[in-house]
Amino acid sequence: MHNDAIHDHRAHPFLGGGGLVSGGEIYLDHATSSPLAPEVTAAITDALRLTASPDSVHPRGAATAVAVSTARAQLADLIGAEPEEIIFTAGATEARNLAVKGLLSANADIGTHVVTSEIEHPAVLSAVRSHIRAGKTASFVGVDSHGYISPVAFARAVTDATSVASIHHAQYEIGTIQDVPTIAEAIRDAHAPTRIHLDASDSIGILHCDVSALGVDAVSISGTPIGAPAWTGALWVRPGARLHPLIEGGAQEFGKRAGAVDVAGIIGLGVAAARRQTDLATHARQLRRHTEMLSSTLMGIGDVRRNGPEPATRLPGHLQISVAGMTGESLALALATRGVLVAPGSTCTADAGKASPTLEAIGCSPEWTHSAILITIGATTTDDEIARAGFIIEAAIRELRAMSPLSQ
Amino acid sequence: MTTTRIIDALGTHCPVPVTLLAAAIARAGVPTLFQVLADDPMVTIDIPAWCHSYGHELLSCTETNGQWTAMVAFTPVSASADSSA
Repeated sequence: MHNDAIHDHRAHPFLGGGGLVSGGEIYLDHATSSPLAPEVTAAITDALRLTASPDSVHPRGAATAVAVSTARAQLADLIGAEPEEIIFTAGATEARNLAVKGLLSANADIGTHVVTSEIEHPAVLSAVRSHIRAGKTASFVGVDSHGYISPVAFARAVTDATSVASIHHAQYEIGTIQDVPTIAEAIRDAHAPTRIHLDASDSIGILHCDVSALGVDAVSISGTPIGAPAWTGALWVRPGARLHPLIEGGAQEFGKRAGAVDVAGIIGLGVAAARRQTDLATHARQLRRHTEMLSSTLMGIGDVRRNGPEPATRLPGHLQISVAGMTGESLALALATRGVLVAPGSTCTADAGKASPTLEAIGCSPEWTHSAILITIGATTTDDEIARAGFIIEAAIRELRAMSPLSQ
Repeated sequence: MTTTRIIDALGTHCPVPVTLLAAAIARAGVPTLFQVLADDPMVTIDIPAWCHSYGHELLSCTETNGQWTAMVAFTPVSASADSSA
């Protein structure tokens, strides 16, 4: 993870002799994947020695089954649910797909219309587009300039044929935290039978998430913000909400996700959830303080735009900025050569060279939609790293602007 | 007091609905009313047969819009012994 020295061509206070970055790399891409706590790594390593399937009837299988059950209970505790309501998946993308497609399929008697926002994760939007391709209908509700969903506008899109509504807890690009209970209540008032899926894949483990208080029917979960590997995830489903599986052919995960389970990943997710259960408030406070520190530095540069709400009200640890005069990819690459590792724009659309639909939805012009970087802070980030990152990002922006024809 | 538990077996096929019911009953421990949701028509054969074999009471099995709801009462051996004493 950490290199001792990164070559650079300019000297500044955080560069050592010979143009080398002192203090090692600064990893600020925690939303994509985050270093594991030692006890999580140890639990996963130990779990690799559990050679039997939890579905086997012999004692060795039973030992694995107990370990998986413990992990299920640990994750359930974190969200105020019962263990039998948790379906483990391979990451959040599968959980989102299972939620949207599974709820739509099993609740077709309610209707075949789905409502979602314009700024959902691509996994949700793609699942909805597949529904449209199958000849069904969907509505996409817009957001305001900070990415907030209006409960009134959302409920207005719900009809008597709406079987599923899908919203997010915290927006994955711009960190907007939605008022989920109010939106859920508005949906219920418009059409009580509508199943509500909440994508909490970026918020769980950072924001308090009690499924009964949120008033929804299904919650997508990612292991990443909890402190578990990025390939782990889960879906919580309220009993009676009715869900069809995507993967069929076995009774694993209560028949909702057939196939051999990822025992090691699940145990790691359980340990991370138990750990986060005890330190969530402290963790969130530290992330918010670091976000405020870094935002304060970056907003002082000039011609830099923070996308989404103020640090005090956005998802802690999450900061997206757009920088006039350059592309997000060029800035992210320039920062990587200086030892600061961030993601360009949206982590899910940057590779395609497309403007972020989220930034377009909040009204950003192309100058801003193509010049975004996503900075995400984690539990291992230090005050010193935040201070150094602020200085290095500012220096990189000034250097790129000095040589960029876009900023002439 | 009898608790009620929903077993969502929708989208699964024989023998998974019965497997899920059997696993839930094995974990139950206390008097429980199980509501099994399924859309495989085989449940109309499998669940009555399984309840008969293992001595559990099938209260009803009804169909609405292609989805079946089977109500199964589970009483632990100790509880049934207490009530008959």
